[in-house]
This record gives sequence, C-alpha cells and structure tokens, in this order.
Amino acid sequence: MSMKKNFPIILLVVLIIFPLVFRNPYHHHLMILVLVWAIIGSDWNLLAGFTGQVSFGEAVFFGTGAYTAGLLSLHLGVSAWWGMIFGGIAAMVIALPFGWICFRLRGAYFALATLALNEIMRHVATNWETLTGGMRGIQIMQTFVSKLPYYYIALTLAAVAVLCIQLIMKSRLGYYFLSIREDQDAAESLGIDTHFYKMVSLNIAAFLSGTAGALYMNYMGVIDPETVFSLHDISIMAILVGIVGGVGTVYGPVVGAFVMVGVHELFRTGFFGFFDWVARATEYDVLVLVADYVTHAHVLGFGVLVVLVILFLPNGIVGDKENIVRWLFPFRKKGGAD
Amino acid sequence: MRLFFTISFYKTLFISVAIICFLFILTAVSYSGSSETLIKKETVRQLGTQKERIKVGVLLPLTGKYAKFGEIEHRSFIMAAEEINASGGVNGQLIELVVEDTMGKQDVGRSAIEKLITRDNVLVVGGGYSSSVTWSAVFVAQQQKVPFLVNTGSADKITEQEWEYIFRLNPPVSEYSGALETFLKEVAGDVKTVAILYENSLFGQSGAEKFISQCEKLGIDVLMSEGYEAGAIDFKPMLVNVRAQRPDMIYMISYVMDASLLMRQARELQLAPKLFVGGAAGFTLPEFLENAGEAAENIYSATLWTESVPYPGAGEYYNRFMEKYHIPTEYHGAEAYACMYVIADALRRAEGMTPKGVRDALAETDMMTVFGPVKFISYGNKTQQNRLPTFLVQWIDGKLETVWPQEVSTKKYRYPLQVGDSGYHGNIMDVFLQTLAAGILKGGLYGLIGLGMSLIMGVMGIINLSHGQLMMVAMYITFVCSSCFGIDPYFSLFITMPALFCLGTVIQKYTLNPLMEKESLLPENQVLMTVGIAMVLTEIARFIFKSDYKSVKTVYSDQTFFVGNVSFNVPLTIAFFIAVLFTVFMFWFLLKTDMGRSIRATAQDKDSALLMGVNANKITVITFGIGSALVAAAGTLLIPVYYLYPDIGGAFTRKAFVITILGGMGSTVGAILGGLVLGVAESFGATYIGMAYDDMIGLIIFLLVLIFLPDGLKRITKI
Repeated sequence: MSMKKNFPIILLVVLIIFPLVFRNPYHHHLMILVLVWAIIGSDWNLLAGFTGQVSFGEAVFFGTGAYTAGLLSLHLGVSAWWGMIFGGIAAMVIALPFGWICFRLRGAYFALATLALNEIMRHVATNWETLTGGMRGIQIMQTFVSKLPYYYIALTLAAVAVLCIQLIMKSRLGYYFLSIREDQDAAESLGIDTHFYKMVSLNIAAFLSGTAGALYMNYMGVIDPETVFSLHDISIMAILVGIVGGVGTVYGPVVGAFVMVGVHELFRTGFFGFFDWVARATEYDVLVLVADYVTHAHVLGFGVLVVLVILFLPNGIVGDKENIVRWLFPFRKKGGAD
Repeated sequence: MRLFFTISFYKTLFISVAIICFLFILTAVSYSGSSETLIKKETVRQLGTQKERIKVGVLLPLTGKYAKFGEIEHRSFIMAAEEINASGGVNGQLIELVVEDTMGKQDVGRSAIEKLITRDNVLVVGGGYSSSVTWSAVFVAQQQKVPFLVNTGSADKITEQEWEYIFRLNPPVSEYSGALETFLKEVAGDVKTVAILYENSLFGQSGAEKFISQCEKLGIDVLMSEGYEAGAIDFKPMLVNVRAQRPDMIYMISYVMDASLLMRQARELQLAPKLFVGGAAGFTLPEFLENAGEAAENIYSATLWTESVPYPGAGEYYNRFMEKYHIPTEYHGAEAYACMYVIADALRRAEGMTPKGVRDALAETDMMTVFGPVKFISYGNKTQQNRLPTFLVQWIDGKLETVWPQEVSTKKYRYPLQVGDSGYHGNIMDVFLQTLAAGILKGGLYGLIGLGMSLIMGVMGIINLSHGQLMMVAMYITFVCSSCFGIDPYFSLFITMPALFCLGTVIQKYTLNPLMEKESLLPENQVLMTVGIAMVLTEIARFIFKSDYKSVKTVYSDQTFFVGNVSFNVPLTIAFFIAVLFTVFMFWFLLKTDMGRSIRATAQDKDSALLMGVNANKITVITFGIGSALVAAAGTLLIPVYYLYPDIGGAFTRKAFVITILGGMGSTVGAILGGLVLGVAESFGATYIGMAYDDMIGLIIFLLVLIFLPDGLKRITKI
C-alpha cells in the first residue's frame, strides 16, 4: 500500500538525480524527449482517457505552441521562457474553434474531425509562408548550451502536468469528466453542461501541450511544419504513449513515454549497437546479417510491438498491471497483500 | 498442465513467428544487397584487431522516403573507406565508419547526431542528405564543436551562419542552375518567360525563390510560380494553367516520381514550351526514364555530376560501384565518395586527433576528388563552402548526355525542343473543361477506394487507418505480377482482388475481432490496431522491396484520346468505368443477395442481427475482406498511371475516409458520388486556387460535411 503512494515521490527523486549520475548528453537528450512525451501523453489522456474524447489532433496544440514561441522569439525577441506561457495560451486560443467544430461530433466522427484539423493546420503552416516561413521552418538560437537546464525545466513541467491531472481527477471537475466519458447523455440529463466541461478539459490539455511545444521549440532550436504538426509522429505517437502506458490512469502516460521513446531508440540503434557488437565480437557472419536486418527493420519491430500491445494489453501497462504481474509471477496467490 | 495463456495466444504467437521466419527467408533470397553484407563482413575482419581505429560519423537516411539515396551514399562511403583502409588507412590507422540513420526526420536526425558525438565520440561527421534534417543536425555539431562536412544538404543557409565547424562539399541549391544561366545567355537568348513549378519542401521552396531572383537578373519574366504537394496523382489542373500562360520555358524542382508524372501529363496535354528544365535530381535518375518513357526525351536538367565529367576517377568510380553493387550510382553517391576522401585527407594532416585539429585541417583542404576540386572558401554571405561549376544534361534518344558547358559535353544540345507542338494553347473554356474531366476521372478511382472503406466503416464502425496500405500491398502484387511474370495489370485484378480479400479476412479475424471482445476503456483501440497494422504492412513492403520507386508501364499507360480539346487519359478512363461497374455490382450485391442483406443487417444493428441468426463475426470478417478486395482493384487500376513505393498508403487512407464521410458510411452510391465530388473539388481547387491547396480543399469539405451533413450524401441517395 505504501509502495503505491510513495511511487510518485520515488520516481521524482530518481528523475531529479538522474542527470547527475548519468552524465552523457545523449542520455539527457533521450530523457528530455521522454519528459516531453510524458506531458503530451498526459494531455491526450486527460481528454481521451478521462473525458472519453479520443483526439487525433494533439499536434495542433503542440505545433501551435512551438510556432508561437518560435515566432515571438524570432520577430519580437521575446525571451524563450515567456514564449512558453504564450505558447500555452495560443494553444488555448486555438482550442476554442477546435472544440466548437469537433465537440458536436462523437466517437469515430470526432476522431476523424480532429485528424482533419491536424492536417489542415499542417497545410496552413506549410503554405502560409509569410507568417511561418513555410517549409523553411523557424530557427532560433538556444538559450543554453548544456542540456541540464532544459532537462530540469522539462521535469518541472512534466511534474506540474501530472500533478495537475491528479488533482483534477480527484476533484469534482474530474468526476464531471468521468461522467462524460461513461455516458454523455446521462450526464447531460443530470444537468452537467457537457459541452462546457469538454471545453474545459480540452483547454487544459491544449495549454499543457502548447507549453510542451514551446519547450520543444526552445530545446531543438529548429522546427518545421512536417515535424511539429505531424499526424504520425506527434498525434498518433501521443495516442500510442497513452494507450501503451495506460489509458485512464494518471501515471500511465509517464510509463508509456518511457517505453515508447526507449523502444523507438532501442530499435533504431539496433539495440544500442548490441547486435553489431556481438557480431564483431564473435565474428559470426550470420550475426552481421541479423544486425543489418534489425537496423533496417526497426520501424517494423516498432509496429509489431504496437500491434502486440494493443492485442494483449488493451488497458496499457499501468492499466493492466495485474495481468502483467500475473504473467510474471504465475504462482502468486490471488488476493495476496499488495 | 497449466497454460499461462489461452490457446489463441499461442496460436497467434506461432503464426506471427512463422510469418517472420518466412519473411526472413524471402528477404534473404531476394536481398540483392547480399554484397553489402559481404562488405560488412570484410570490414569486420579488417577491424579484427583492437588497434586504435579512427571513428568517422556518417549521418544518412537509411530508412524512410529518402532511403534510396541514403543507401547509395552509404555504399559510396563504405566503398571509399575500404579503399582508403586497404591502402594503409590514415597514417597507418584504420577508419571506422559509424553510420546513424536519420529516417529522413529532423528529430531523429537530432538524436542520431547527439549519439554520434556524445556516445560514439566521433572525430568528424560526414553525410547530411535532406536539407531540413541536415540543418537541425549542423546546429548540434557547431554547438558541440565537432566538424561536420555536409555533402548533400543544399539549403543555402547551412553555410550562411559563419559556423566554423560546418563545411559543405556540394554547391548550395541557389547555384544549381549556374550552367543553365550561361546556357540561357549564350544559346537560348530568345527565352523571355518562365513558369516555375516546385515541390513544397525546403528544397523546393528555397530553390524556387533563388531561381526567381536569378530570372530577374537575366531579365526573364516569371509568369507563374506554383508549389505543389509531392505525391499528387494529377498535375493536369496545374499544367493546364501553365499551358494557358504560354511560357517559353518551364522550370521544375521536383523529386523523381513527381517529375515523371509531370512530364507524362504535360505530354498528354501537348504542352510545348521552348525549354523544359528540371532543377533537381529528379529528372536525371534512371527511375525517371523508366516511368516517363518517351516523355523524358529532350528534357534538360541541371546537375552537379555525371560519370562523364572531366574529374579524375569519376568514370572509374562509376564503374566500380556498378560492379560491386549492380545498380548505377549518381551524383549523391559521388558526393559521398568524395566526402570520405576529403575527410581522410584532413585526418592525415590534422595536428592531433581532436575535433578541433580535424576542423583546422579541413579548413586547409585543397584537393581534387571525383566530384571535382575541393577547397573551402568564403564568398558572398557564405563561409567554408566549396565552389563548383554545374552542368546541364539532356535526355537524348533515351540516354542522359552532358550538353553544357560545351567543353565537357558528350553530345550537342537540342534546342529548341521538338515536342509535338499542336500550336494550340487553350482558352478559358478549355481550362475549365480539362479541369472538370480530370476531376471526374480521378473521382472514379477515388470512389473505388472509398467504396471499400465505406463498407467497412458502415458495418463495423471502425475507422480503418490501414486502408491505403492494403492498396499498397495490392499494388506491389501487381508489380510483381507484371515484372516477374509479365501479367498485364488488368489481368492481375483477378489475382490481387482475391489475395487482398484473404489478407483482409485474416486481419479482421485475428487482430480486430479479438479486440471487440476485450474489455477496455476505449473502443478506439481498434483504430489504433489498424495504425499498427498499417505500420507493419508498410515496413514489410520496405523490407522486401526497399524504398525504391517502382513503375509498371504498359503500352497504354500514356495513351490519351481527345474529346474536342480535352485530353482523357486512357487507363484512368477505363478505371473510371470499372469503378462504376463495381459500384453497380456492390449495389446489387447488398440489395439482392442473402449475404448482402446480412451485411446490411449487421451494419444497422449488430445485436439484432445476431438474434436473427446472422453470424455477425463471420460477416465482419467477410466485409473486411470485400472492402480490401475493392481497394485492391483501385490500386491495380491506378498503378499504370502512377508509381509505387512503400509509403504510398498514407495519403490514400486520408482520401478514403474523406470520401466515406462525404458519401455516408455504408452507402455504395454515396461512395462513388463522394469520390466524384472530392475529385472535382480538388481539381478545381488546384486550377483556380493553387495546387498546394488541393489537399486542403478536401479536408475543408470533409469538416463541413462532418458538421453539417453527418450522414453524408446518404440522405440524398438513400442507399
């Protein structure tokens, strides 16, 4: 029991001391990505897992935040950190028409509408060259050379996001969201203004995503429409983070972010060069072939993983953790103490 | 015996393992890159002893849409490194290449270069293919103070930042047309107007911008400059506009497949300027010739290198590459090869094996390579940029000849072009009619694509995001039938449709149906499963066929017939009629047959249908199969007028659900009407607003329909 309560604190402590123990900037880079995805995944989860509105358009808010921060910095010389707040606000502004268009639809239709809006935003960003520079994207100089400041800012933001969501879900507002997810019509008939609360949920998610986008802009220094408004790499990845981690759980997206970024990079580098190393060490030619295949097939491996996870862990790692525990320790007595 | 999982789990596991093993065997057999792994073997043996090896990082897109060129560069790097190592390496030390895959994406490129610099501790980085990925990577290299020798990324700004750690071997995109400039001045002085067409990428947009300013300098009028989304099926709306403007020259910045479609369709429209010039690699590759056929004749192209350039070793490099890898190399390969030699040279001269030492040595480079002389100078607003002349090549009698400057030409240029000049350029009415015709024909094909998805969505309520990928699979099957067995695409219909039917049923039965039984918070898991399946299908295709562009050319691929002044493409017209035929058939099937009625019943209310004795699970499986077969037909019919590569699915999936919503889920007539509406809307949008917006038109219509007419056209058609 105490394990469950202390888990978040332990995690936080681990994350705080992580960069001091592991000094390699490459690992810092990966962890920053994990944190950014944790934020985006949590936002998506708020909207989808808790309020039941599965959106394929996370990238709209992420990209808006990124571009706002970038443009403000580029044209008005606004400091990158103010840019983060403005990025969040801009995303909230976009959320208003977004919600107005999409919330009149349900289920599959809602999802498709968000997908369409995602693509439209991408096209707008690509074609409105005078504002966004088109495919040239935006380039700003980064404020810090070292990665540590970015890491801690990302950590703060992620912690704030998760904490917010946890507090919300324990409050009355959270119950409103859950009721909308479970049965929107019943909620409406009980007098809950579903449209209003859906908008609230959307705005919170948009603000956090927008801020994450602004952070991304500051950290990467360069963005373009293909990257930040990408349907596949941002919106669908956000959904995967949420689903793999655990829809409808507070910490699910955090776990999901770890897993997805980790697995993606693992596959991309051929298990961090493990296969290459083994091949070299043993000089078995077959292994060289295998190493080659793995490197070239990394997206395939990723796709297969997605399919398997959805098939066997539909509620994600956190959501289905009893199942995982049961699989790992099949001899555990049922009903044992936690 | 306790089974820790259900039997079905083990069944699935077994089948998946079996499929993976089968694929491995298939690929091992067909893997033409076997020589490549042999190279790796050799390199591994050479590097057997743990002597200090010098680590050189290489950043390239080995997977993703640029994989083809990434691979050519990769192999060139390897070839060069081996040659250098075989002749003693760098001052006795061997070079070790650490290659990282950028996947053609900026953020991945960023991770890749971080890894190279901080984890692999490379002394210097080479490579850099796509402009935008290179741009974000050089940022990091400069920050971390590791020298980066860019050999392909051509956006000007890469060397305009006064970054002392960044060097570039290849000319920036603004200089690509240098040879064209002199040609225009000395030979084609009568060219006074130009129309510019470019793809909407960093490369295209910046290239177009630079060319416009060059035209201003030369006193050439830019009549129009239009961007388009790469991957379009139909360029006629844009080309018909071009034709109406009557430019003397048409300048195109396109990637290989768009280039070939542009030329084929320009020919169908009898577009006849004095000069057709391609401003990018697209127009010089063998794939271009393969897909464009006769339409490639007389096209000029600005290029940076051909195997007949007068630099020592160029021709030998070309031949050695061909011998070793059995495919031709081209200028990207030459860039990579030269890059490796320049890096090796710098390493030899470096004072101290540190990044700074290598950087200083690079700055002093002054050598000759197969790509040309290399010396990094500052000029204009650029620093540490190598300056090279460019060439004009022209397709003459099916061969790519260097035609300008004359000193190095292999054949005399042909100017002005003798393209069949009907002398007819079209008036407003013709533009309108051509646009309409193009839209209708395209719409027929769209309707067929949408028909399948509409059925699936209507019956099961799942958004099948792998629809386009199913089409891709069918297209690959058609390709194999055509290239290995010589079967005409129209006959392949009888193969692809059943094949995809089977695939569809398998997918539904083993991956989607099980999901419906699982308890989960969100019903949208099914949609995500289709996303996963789409990824898997795409990657399997890439695994087997690589990322190369494939074409299926038939005798009738480019045939057109004219009604008045409007040109109709024959295969597209046939596809249109077949689509209508299928729609009528499906209409009858759903209305009159038992199976059809069962399907409609399941679509209306699954539980009631179950109560009525309909085997709902079997119905869903069959419906998915039928839907897949229909989209397979669409793919087979499309391939003679388009092209094929693994990532082709995504765009069609998007179109499919726009059409499905437009027409109404489950409505057959609605699907074809929806397809027509979309096709026509896109065509008109492309002609009258701009080709870059044709996708947006579809999306906006989609949203409007979702909001105001959620049942789609079904309301009107009732079926």
